[in-house]
Amino acid sequence: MIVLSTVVCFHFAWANANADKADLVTVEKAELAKLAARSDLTVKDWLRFVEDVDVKCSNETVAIKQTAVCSFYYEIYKIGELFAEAQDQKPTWDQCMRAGVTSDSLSVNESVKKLVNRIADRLCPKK
Amino acid sequence: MRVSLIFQVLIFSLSIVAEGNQCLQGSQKNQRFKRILETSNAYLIKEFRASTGFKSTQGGLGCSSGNCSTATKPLALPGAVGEIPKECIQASLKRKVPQISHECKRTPEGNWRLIEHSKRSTSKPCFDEATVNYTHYITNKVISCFQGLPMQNGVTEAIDPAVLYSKLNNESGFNFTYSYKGGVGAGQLTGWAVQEMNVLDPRRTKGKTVKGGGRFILDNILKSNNPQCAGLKPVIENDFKFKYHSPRQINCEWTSMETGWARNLIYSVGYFSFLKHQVIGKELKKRAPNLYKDPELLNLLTLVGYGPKGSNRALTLIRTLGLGGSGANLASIKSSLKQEVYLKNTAGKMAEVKTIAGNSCRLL
Repeated sequence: MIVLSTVVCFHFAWANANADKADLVTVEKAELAKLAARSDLTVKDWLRFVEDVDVKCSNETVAIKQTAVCSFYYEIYKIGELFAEAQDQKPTWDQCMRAGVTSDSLSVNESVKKLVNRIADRLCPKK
Repeated sequence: MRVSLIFQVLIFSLSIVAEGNQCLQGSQKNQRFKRILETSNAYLIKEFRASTGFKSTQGGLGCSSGNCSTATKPLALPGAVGEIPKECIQASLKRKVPQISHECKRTPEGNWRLIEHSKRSTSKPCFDEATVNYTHYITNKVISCFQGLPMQNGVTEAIDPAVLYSKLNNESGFNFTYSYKGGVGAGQLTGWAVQEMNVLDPRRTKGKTVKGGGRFILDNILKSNNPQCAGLKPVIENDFKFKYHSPRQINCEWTSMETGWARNLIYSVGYFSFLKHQVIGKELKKRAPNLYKDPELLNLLTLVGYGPKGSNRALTLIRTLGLGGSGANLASIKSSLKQEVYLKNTAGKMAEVKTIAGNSCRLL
């Protein structure tokens, strides 16, 4: 009976952690979608969002949730790094293209990839 | 009459044994690789013939004495760096890899003709001793060219032959003809790797030529004074004439013995270095500067990057395994990394090759 209760509790906790993980990434994805839709998006807004996800990746204490949010961070971080390293100057179109390839190869989710590309397209100089 | 029949059966059996001895893989009837090594004017093959004293033989692996490495002249590699021994490559080629093989044939007009061999084909080209020698020669030439090659962040590259051996053994078992839609040739190159190493796919850049993030590695090989890079330069120079080499569309550019084998290896090792230093290493240096100096850890993380979730998984592990923390237990972290999909697969295939090689491969 005790064993059964433990198993049920464990299963419930595991299912909960998975649900939380899904919620967490869903929230971040929704935020990413909002940013991608904004016509007035600035480099500053974008960098703030990337940094915020970075902090969440560092601070999350539940392993499964941390993996989810960190993985999400590494899907968006290359385009963040591109602008962070350029600092006050805008990256060139070539640099944007290059970072875009590495960013795409780090993506594990097609919808996130599309949103990040849309943001890069908005912030990067035109050809 | 009966004696004659027994004699015929004996001769037939011996011929089967002989065939088995002559070809590690493929059929004795298809001696394309041997002919290429004997007659090709490709720069690397001419260099191989000249520097190893290559002579046309009647085949046979010539390893009955148990010391195959003496069959080729040793490469002048720095002692501490070492090489992948021929015995190890030979054992790897004996491993069964269920893949489709692509044989490349030059037409009289100079174009490539691709012949596809299914897994069960009985007419694949023979991998005889000369082919093993050439594989040994090319692999170690590329490794020694990369040793000391400058990376962008002030470090120089140091390729661990044991790591590269485990990777190539896992990807293709050193068979440079293996390809499928997920990867091409010895290093099982992907479109991502090719774009990073040379130029981006023009469909992405509206036809404009844009160099990839790892292209500086090819540029540095061209600038290198290392004599081991000399023979590789014509392959790279030739590549720069093309706008984009898709591994799927021009398969022979990645799988032919003449230049495809070397090109595939240069790009594969180059992409490994790119991931190791410019993607995974860069992040590791930012989060845990001291651990970037641990070559074993850096290699393990890079190998994780070849698994199902790619480099994203390796980068995520830098954070979730607490690599940046002050109390990071390195031994336990490395042991966790070894449980990752790609590393477990690699270990499994190294176990297979160990059974084949016995004690003959010193990297196992």
